[in-house]
Amino acid sequence: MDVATERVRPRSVWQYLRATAGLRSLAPAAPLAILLVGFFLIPLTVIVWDSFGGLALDFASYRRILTEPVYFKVSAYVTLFSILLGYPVAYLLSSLKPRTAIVVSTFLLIPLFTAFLIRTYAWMVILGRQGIVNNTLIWLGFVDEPIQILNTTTAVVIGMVHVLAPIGIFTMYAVMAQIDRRLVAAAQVLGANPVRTFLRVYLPMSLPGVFATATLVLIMAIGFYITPALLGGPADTMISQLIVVQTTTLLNFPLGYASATILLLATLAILFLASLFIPLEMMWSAHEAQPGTGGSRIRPTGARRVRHALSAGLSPVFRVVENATFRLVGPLMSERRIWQWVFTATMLVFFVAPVIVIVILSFSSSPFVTFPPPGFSLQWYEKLYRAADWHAALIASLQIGGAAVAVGLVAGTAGAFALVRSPLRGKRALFLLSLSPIVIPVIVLALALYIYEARLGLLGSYVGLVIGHAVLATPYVVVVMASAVRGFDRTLEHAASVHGARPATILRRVTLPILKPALTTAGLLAFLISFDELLVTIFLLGRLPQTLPIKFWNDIKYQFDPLLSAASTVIILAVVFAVGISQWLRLRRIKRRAVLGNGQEMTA
Amino acid sequence: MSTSLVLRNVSKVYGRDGRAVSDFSLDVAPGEFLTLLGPSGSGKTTVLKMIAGFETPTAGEIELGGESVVTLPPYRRGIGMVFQNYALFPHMTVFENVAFPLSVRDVDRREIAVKAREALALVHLEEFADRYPTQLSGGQQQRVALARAVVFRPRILLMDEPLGALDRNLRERMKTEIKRIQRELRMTVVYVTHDQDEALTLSDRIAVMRDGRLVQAAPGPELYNRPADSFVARFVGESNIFDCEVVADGAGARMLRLPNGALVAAPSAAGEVVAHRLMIRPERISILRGEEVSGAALSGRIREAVFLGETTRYEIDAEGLSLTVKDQNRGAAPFPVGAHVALTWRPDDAVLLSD
Repeated sequence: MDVATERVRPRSVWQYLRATAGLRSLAPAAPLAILLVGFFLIPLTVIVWDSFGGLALDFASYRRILTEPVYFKVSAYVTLFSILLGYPVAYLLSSLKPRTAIVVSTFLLIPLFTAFLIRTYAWMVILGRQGIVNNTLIWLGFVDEPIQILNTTTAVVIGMVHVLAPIGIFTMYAVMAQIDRRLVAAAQVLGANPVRTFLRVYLPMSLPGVFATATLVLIMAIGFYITPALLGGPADTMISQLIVVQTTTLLNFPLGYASATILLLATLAILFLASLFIPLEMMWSAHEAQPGTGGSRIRPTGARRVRHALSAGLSPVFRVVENATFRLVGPLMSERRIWQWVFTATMLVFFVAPVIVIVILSFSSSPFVTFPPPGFSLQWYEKLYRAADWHAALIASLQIGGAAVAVGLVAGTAGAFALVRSPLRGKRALFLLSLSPIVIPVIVLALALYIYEARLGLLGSYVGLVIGHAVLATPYVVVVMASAVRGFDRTLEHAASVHGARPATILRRVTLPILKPALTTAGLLAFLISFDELLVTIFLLGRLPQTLPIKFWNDIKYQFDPLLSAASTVIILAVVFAVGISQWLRLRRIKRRAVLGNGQEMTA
Repeated sequence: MSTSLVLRNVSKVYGRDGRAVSDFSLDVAPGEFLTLLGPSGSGKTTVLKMIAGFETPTAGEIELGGESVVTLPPYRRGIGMVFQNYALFPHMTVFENVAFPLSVRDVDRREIAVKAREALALVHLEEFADRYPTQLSGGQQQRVALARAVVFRPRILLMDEPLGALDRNLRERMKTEIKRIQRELRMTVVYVTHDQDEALTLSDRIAVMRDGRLVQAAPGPELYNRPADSFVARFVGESNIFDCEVVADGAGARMLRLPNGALVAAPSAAGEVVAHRLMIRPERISILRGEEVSGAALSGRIREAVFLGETTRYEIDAEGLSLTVKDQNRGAAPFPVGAHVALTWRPDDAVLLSD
């Protein structure tokens, strides 16, 4: 077709805007870009650059670090246990009816959304010399005097598994929920025994979830600070503790920068290795990894090749082992899955117990942290009611959280629209970049923002602190909203448009109202992130009023008494309330859908 | 209220994907029910999107009531539209959905109430005004979508495969409903479908599309009886199509030579073209017992017979040609498989195709 014969139309503003739709579609991402570039990428670049003295190329700090004894061992244990203990729970969860699954997952969500600090505090109570474990052991006569559990590697691993295993369970669950269970039935009909069916059919299909969990838990574990700092001993120093000590106590900044850079590089290296096997989006939301969004990268080709090579060579061995295993565990794999339930129930007790211990302790009549409490009293609630410093901390936290949610919702939602709807290539890279603040260890971001805001003169200001919280909260908004916007039926906007609604009217009357549930979730999640945030706050707070986590942190370290459990109980109640409401809403939605489904069948 | 629609040399080219619509021209008269019919990927939905304003033509002109609308955004075109999945706003009640086109135009509140009730009455859904779309059946949702699309008396109504998601019985009922409402409101309608039955039942005129081009635009009977080419012939109704050659017999009459060598009388409309294709509808072929019947076009053997109720459908081998014949059941015993039969048709029931 000859181009010259096609009549070129006079272009109106409308058409001009449409012609540049590609670029224009990215405009809503501007606030997100400013936040990510201005307060994430640049600060990180600054500390990496300074870690070798810039142009001086002085790598002395790196040489020193490599001689420091920093243990990655703990992270490896935590990852291993999170997967081994989490896999059966996720497996059972994914095979349950939606309603039962919602009930079971409530017991995972409540501890998951309870602040790290509170849970770590609970473990201090449980594992301490006067704790439940020691008291039980003595009562049973296994030991004569309390044994040392707190401040050992064991305590760190327990505390971290408690924090990270629920995250792993949900990551694996997201993958398992998409596995078609009929394939399992098909394999059994075709003659495979349950063990072989599991190993040859189910396990391979769930492996991407296991990989995603391993990656996620590992990168979170190597950057952990709170749990090792409170539960560990001197032998368990994690690299983030090293960074805090170097930069806040010893004031050896180059060493801190170098440690942070190493931690950053280690995280990126793990992510890079993982990306060869699984789409990285899978770790934060399984929906992002649906076919059509990630394209051909969905298939875990690397994993498949390795597995293929392995299974070809070891096939006869497998067969013998599988048959032997079936003889052994066959009776356990009964239809009613009794053993899966027993295991899952044990795990749920493990996850919920610390929360319950805290609640019980808050009614203690003793001035000391002993468990079980010698008697009932409301004294700690009375103290809490009169404690002006706790009230001030709560108000400070609410203020910072509210501001961070506002910034995060605007930047994250607008950014999610741009990322999902822009026709431009490279969206996936931008999406991963917008997730990166929650991927890299918080300590690295905290240190980077500290140095950077100090240079900008923002350190110790409300603006500086809110920005820090917003950088951490926004990625969650992006994840939630991107998935919501992707699921949003655009013909609704077309319908509004063709029937006379202008773009602003469409946004106000159609798009935003329909996305309201997702906006609520995103806002709550963002608030929770800010409300629990400790490390960034430690670095950026300056002389601002203490937030709740800071107040908590100081009290745990300097005045360990049951007042903390009263304060914790109040927060736990809020979490139980929020989780309860959202789970109840999900249940109601499922029921309504069931009713509607029947109704449609009747009218059809 | 109704308006004419003119599409002139409209083309749409997508980035690298290529041409979705090529040089498409069509005039739709005020009050006309026009259907765009074609298989998926034929560009019919793209044409509809360009009329609505969701897509801008790469070239060409679109006029509503004599005015160009190409530069107008959708919300200024004054169009009503029913979408394939209805696109009802899930957070609004049925009433609010229907009132939407009026409320975004800042119509007076009382007037909105009156007009929305009227539109709901038109589709017999007055008592469902306070329900939410998810509480309605598919057919009811469909009618809400229709009420919303006509409540503000749009200049033209667009419908994008509106019956695709309904089951068969409901589809039949909705066809009648749509036709009734279009007549009552005397509205110009552009309707998109890939279903020939829908197109034939509803339309004043059908525009058949293929690969982004308009193949033929004509009223249903003409499309069926005089298809422009073998694509239209195959897409609308069943057909037997053979290559053929125009030859003169001994007496100088023009005859058609079929691929198996048989000579049949040419339809009177046969032109001077040398190579042709011949199309004959299965129900236009008469089927007679016996091998030799004088004047018969072809003789053959029944390969398969399927009883369909009002007709019996035969697959027949006729000396190397395979034909489908539909025979009205008038009480006579059907021909058994293997029977030798003679086939005949009136020369003017056959159509010579241009491709």
